[in-house]
Amino acid sequence: MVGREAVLALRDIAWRAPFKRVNWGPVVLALTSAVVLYLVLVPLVVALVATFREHGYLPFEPGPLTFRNYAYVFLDATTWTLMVNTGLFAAGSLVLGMAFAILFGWLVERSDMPLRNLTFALVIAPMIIPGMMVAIAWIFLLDPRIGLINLMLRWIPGWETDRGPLDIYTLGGMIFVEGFRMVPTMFLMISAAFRNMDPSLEEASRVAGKSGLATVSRITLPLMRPAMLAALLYFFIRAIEVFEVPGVLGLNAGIHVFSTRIYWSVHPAAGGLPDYGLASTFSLILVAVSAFSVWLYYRLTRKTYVTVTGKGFRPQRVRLGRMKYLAGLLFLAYFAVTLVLPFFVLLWTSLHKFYLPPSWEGLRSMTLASYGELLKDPGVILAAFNTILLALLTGTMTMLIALFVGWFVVRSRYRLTRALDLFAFLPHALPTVVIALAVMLLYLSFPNPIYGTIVAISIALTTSYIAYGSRVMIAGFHQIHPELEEASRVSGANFFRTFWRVLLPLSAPAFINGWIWVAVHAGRELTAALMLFSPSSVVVSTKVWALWEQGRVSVASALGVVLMMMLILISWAGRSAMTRMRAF
Amino acid sequence: MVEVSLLRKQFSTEQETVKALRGISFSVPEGQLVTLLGPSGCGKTTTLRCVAGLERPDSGMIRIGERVVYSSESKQFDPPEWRPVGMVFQSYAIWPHMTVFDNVAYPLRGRGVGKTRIVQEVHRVLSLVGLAELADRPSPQLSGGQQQRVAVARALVANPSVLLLDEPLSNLDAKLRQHMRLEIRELQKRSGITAIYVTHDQEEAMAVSDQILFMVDGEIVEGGPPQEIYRKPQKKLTAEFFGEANFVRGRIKAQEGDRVVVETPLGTLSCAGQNKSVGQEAYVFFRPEDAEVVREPPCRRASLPGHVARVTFLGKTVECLLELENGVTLKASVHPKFRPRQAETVHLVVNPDACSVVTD
Repeated sequence: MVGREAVLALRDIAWRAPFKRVNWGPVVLALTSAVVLYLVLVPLVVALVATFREHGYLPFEPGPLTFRNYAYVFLDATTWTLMVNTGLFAAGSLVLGMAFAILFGWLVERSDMPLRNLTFALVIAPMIIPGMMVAIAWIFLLDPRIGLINLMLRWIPGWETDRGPLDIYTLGGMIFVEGFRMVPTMFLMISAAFRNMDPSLEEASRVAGKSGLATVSRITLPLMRPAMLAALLYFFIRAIEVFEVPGVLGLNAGIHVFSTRIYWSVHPAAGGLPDYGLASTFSLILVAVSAFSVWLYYRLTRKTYVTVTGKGFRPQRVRLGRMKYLAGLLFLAYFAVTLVLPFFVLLWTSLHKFYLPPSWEGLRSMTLASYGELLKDPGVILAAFNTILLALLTGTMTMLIALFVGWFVVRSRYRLTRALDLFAFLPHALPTVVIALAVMLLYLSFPNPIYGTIVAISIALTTSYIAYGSRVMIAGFHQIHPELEEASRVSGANFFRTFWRVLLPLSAPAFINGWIWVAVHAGRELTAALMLFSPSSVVVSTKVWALWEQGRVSVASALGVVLMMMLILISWAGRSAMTRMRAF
Repeated sequence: MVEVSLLRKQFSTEQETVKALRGISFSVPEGQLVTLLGPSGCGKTTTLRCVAGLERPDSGMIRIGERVVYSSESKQFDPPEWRPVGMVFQSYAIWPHMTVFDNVAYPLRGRGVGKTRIVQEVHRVLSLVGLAELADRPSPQLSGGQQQRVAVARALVANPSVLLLDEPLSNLDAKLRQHMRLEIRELQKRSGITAIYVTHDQEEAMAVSDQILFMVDGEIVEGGPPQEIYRKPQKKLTAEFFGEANFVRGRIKAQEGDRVVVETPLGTLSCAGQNKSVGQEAYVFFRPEDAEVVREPPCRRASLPGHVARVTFLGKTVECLLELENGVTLKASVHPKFRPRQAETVHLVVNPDACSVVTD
């Protein structure tokens, strides 16, 4: 038995070392808020000022103010066309994407379809092809003259034309490509909502005498309405700001949406001067529309906070019977259209010197020349290096900020916290093209070493991804019992020690998850990179774009394939780091 | 010792403002274990968290030992890491990414304690709670009781001035709970540490405490040693919370020394009670186990005739609901051997010394 002296042995412990006299919590909160505010608000203000400047003036250069940009944007008929195009493009791809996402989500989570795990993987797999590469692949497939599918369709008697019958360079073509591109992420959101729904609500309906399908239509879908509406709003914002697909397919055909119009104002075609004022004014409209949608989304997701019930429950699955073969066929068709065909055609093109429709003869002329050209091009090596740097830098910056934002939002009760929450959410309302424009204007306005470097692109992307990152960290911190960190404080550890020794290790899974997402997205991102790159800060995506513009389609395809491999590598590295973290 | 004075705290949400603490004051003498007891939402945990520094009060003063750790007057607020406290949490809050040793060593690290000293101290407290041989075990592999001991060891290792225990047994099963409460009490007595214990379980409170402070609605209703607060409470609320109770409603006629004379439907009774104002409405209170039930009226003692209205078998005892002749119903627990029968006529004998007078 140990006596009283044993416990009282440590009379000499310092309960308050002199250098620990600062209470760091509020200090770090203020710093985090300052960083978020700087990233989110300052560029916006700069862009707003730019709307009042004459063509050729930077926002803060001395010179006259003007309303000419507004007059041009609001009085010109093309703005109307722009709105109609953007609206149709967004609505069309939403309807297409949502129809497939709900159907797939229901089939995987609520029906007795076989091979559900495999199907789940198949549905989200197409995410690995970057948007620009998808669009390029579909040009190979559906170009009215040389598109592979068109060539095959022309074998059908009666369609023996030399153009068409299908044309990818149309609004319909753009909707088709973008709609399918939305399916994986939408599916993730919808299936999560299906999974989190309390199955006893459905069971109660079955017990009350309703059939499986009646339960789906009367109970399941109405309960899903908030989740579906939230997904719809989220993707509406994404659809009106997306650049890759309209950029590749629409720019050539002269079909403009807001994002491509903004890009076009800053990078006009033949030797024109960039018109920052006009670009900023277009941006303002785009921001207004998406800010409204974000506000709706924020209200919707706040009110219907999905409560996750216990894990491992077994929902009643609806029997498909023979319909399951049809369902299986549908998944195969989807997989072929969204992943196999595009990837195959890209790979094929990259293995030939020129674009050549796939054929048996073509097999013999296969060559690795395009990949050899990549290795010889010093620009490609630089781009690859820059891309990795951009992915690592953006992933780390974003998640570090998100880490602190998430912690403060979940745990602290300062008044500043709610403002921080809102500001970290705001980038959802800021299209990437607008953020890129604003960052460009900001760092053009005063002398600094950042403009034209990878850091500038990374700052724009960090701003854009903070919203996602902080949601991930907020969800992560909600999973950590608050007493775990309180125990650390009571044990005498200050804010930083608690963060470093307790919170960081415990929130590591969320952190790494978010990091992988951000890094992969930063690595494939085209919009901001295209707006902000300089010869020294080319990345792979902008290099592909440049090669494509130059008509070097084989080399562009080869680089696209390499990019996909790089992205898979980054996420594999992150995942293996994650499994190692799970060891404890 | 710990001194808390006029502590106020309210929580505001968008819909409403909840007054969690309405100006409570108490002190914990050196080396004693004081329990804050009360129903959920009474403010007991909030009080404990204010002492720990995890919650910032709106006003008042908190002193731990010689040091004022919070004072609204001098605008002082020490964050938790500056306060000489150790705390055992309801969930134990054992860090799953550390071993038992690392968990317990945590409070010593970063405080200028040498490495060998840390090893020494950790092993000392671990043997104190009987876990010395589990030092290298990853903490997720511990049972509930072991986690509890690790939490206690971690709270004690840096030799705090006060040990705070927030419902430390509520996550254990009933058997282990009874065992652990003895162990905690034993450890506290042996180490002579000052402790504040929070629980909603009155039995647990009585088993571990030197003093119990009964709280309701952000206020301390009353306080005292377990025996006293159980048998001679001042308030009806307290009497009810601590267990089955009988109340006979009446009016105070006179205060004679430490006895109070109350007029009740059962007649004029004189029982223990202090500082009651004459004319006030009051209750004569006694516990069911202080009532004796007999079949034949005793000759030398006053008894009340009645009949058995309901019998509930509880194992150790049988609880009888008696309906007296004047319509008053009272509960009495009797030994199972007595075998009371429904509707049987019996006589109730209550020792006046076991009664006390309580008010609303």
